[in-house]
Amino acid sequence: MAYHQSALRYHRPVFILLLLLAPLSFMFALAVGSVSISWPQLWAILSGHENDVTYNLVMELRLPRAVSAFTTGGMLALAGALMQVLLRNPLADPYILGVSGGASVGALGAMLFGFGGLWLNGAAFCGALLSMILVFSLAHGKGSWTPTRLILTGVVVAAGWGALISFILALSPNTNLRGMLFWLIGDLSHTDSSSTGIIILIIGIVLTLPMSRHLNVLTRGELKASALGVSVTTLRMQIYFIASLLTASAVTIVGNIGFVGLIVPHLVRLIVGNDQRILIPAAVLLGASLLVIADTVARTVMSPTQLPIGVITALIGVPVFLYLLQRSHH
Amino acid sequence: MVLLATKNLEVSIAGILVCHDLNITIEPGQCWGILGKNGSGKTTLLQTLAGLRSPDAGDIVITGNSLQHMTRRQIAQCIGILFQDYNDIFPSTVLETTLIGRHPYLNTWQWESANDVQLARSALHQVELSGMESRIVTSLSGGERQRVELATLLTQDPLVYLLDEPTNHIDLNHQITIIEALKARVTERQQALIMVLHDINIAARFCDHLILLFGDGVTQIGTKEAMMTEHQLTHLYGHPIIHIQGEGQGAFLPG
Repeated sequence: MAYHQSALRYHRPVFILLLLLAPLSFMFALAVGSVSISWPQLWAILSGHENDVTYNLVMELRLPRAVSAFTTGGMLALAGALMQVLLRNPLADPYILGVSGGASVGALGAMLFGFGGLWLNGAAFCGALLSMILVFSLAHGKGSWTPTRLILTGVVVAAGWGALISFILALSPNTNLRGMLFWLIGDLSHTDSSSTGIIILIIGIVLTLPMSRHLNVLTRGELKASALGVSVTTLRMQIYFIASLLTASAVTIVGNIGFVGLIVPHLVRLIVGNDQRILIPAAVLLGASLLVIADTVARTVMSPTQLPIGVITALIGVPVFLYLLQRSHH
Repeated sequence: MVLLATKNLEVSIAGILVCHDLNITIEPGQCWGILGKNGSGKTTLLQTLAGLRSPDAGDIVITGNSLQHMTRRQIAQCIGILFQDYNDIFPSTVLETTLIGRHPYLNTWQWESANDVQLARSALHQVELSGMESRIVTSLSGGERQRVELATLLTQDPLVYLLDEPTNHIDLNHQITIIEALKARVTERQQALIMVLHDINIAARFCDHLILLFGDGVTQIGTKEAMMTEHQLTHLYGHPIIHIQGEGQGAFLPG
């Protein structure tokens, strides 16, 4: 079998399933909740034949929320896949280099001073950018830009943000704490910037796909990649900035949602192998749909209490990841 | 016709001089060896020739073009290198790993063609790994993994092959057959081979020219006959080396 030439065709069933999963996850998200909506009703709403209260519920509450979950899931999966290649480390996730820590400090700081809405988003995004530039320039330094140096710098900066987060939490009045904690574990109930998210996700995909064969070569190591014609320094910077911007946007929209960026690339790797040209689009699709489903579960399973989505992704993610880790030892 | 030439090349690593004013011209079909003690800079010199580190002074010219004025992709179409080590982070198959060698020839959206797959398969056949195409590289033995690297290099099919310790991990029978096959290919296709070697007898058997690195920037270049004498090698390794003449071929032994 000429595996490589027909690799896309070979994995076509996987892509068909993933492309089916996406609309299914949306239908699930739109139909399920405090008010259940039947399939015919949903169809009537979506085709514009029904204009009652349920219309507003679906189109103005559930749909934007599902779109936010879908785009951030895609962003986190893409950012995670990129970080794993950049750092040549299977344990890398979008948050490992401190982008989310910076965003959290920005967001919690804004909450502490009573800002909300767009100000909060702006503060989170600025915090993420600050962290991204800080880690980049510190790791770049004067010497070479090795994955080890980058990961050490990122992890230490992330630890610094962690301390600042605890500091802000300690200073905050009790009334603020619940909101802050929800933001930290990831929460989709206040999202409103879904169109920006879609644009950023599309930009991320468009920039990543043309370089995905280069990413394959980069997983072989810096010297090998150079010897095979890859401009390693440029490629690494591109990956770093794309992954960081995706992470910054995702964190700004929904806060810290764990495990999607770590687990989804690994799940996809188990199914389609490690060719980034196949892995990356598959990971984006799976991450996006999974987060829509996880968010729907989060807001319905203990209804009327809405759980933070980070709880559901972590509850699914931890056992799945441990299982994968066990499996890889055999 | 000159494939690869250096002009007054000066290379150093961590403040230690590897060579200076090195002028070599490598012609099609030639096989060069680089010998020297540990830390004399053999790998550094080889990686400089591959364009992976910049020389302190001088120039490297491949088929008339200076490496300084070529893109990484152009260099990769002319020069291929086998490294001493490799580490596999993510699992992938032997065939996928070998096909990476076609990377310098493919455009952004181009996938490996049936012809590329054929090249990779025949390279695997040459290193005697036929039938192992779908094995995961992390499950291979050290010698098999090294042969996958060699197959990747054959799939890259450059004009100049740079090999850093090609016989590492590989058992004796494969050492000889693989280097013989490589040399035959290089002769037939009018390419060139440069190998860093530890084993003086492999060098004596396959190389027609040698670069001796004495450390501190002292080098000697010449034909095998001029370089591979008891006197030179004793001086090079700082240990007495004697030549024993056997039937048809000789061998160098530490005295």
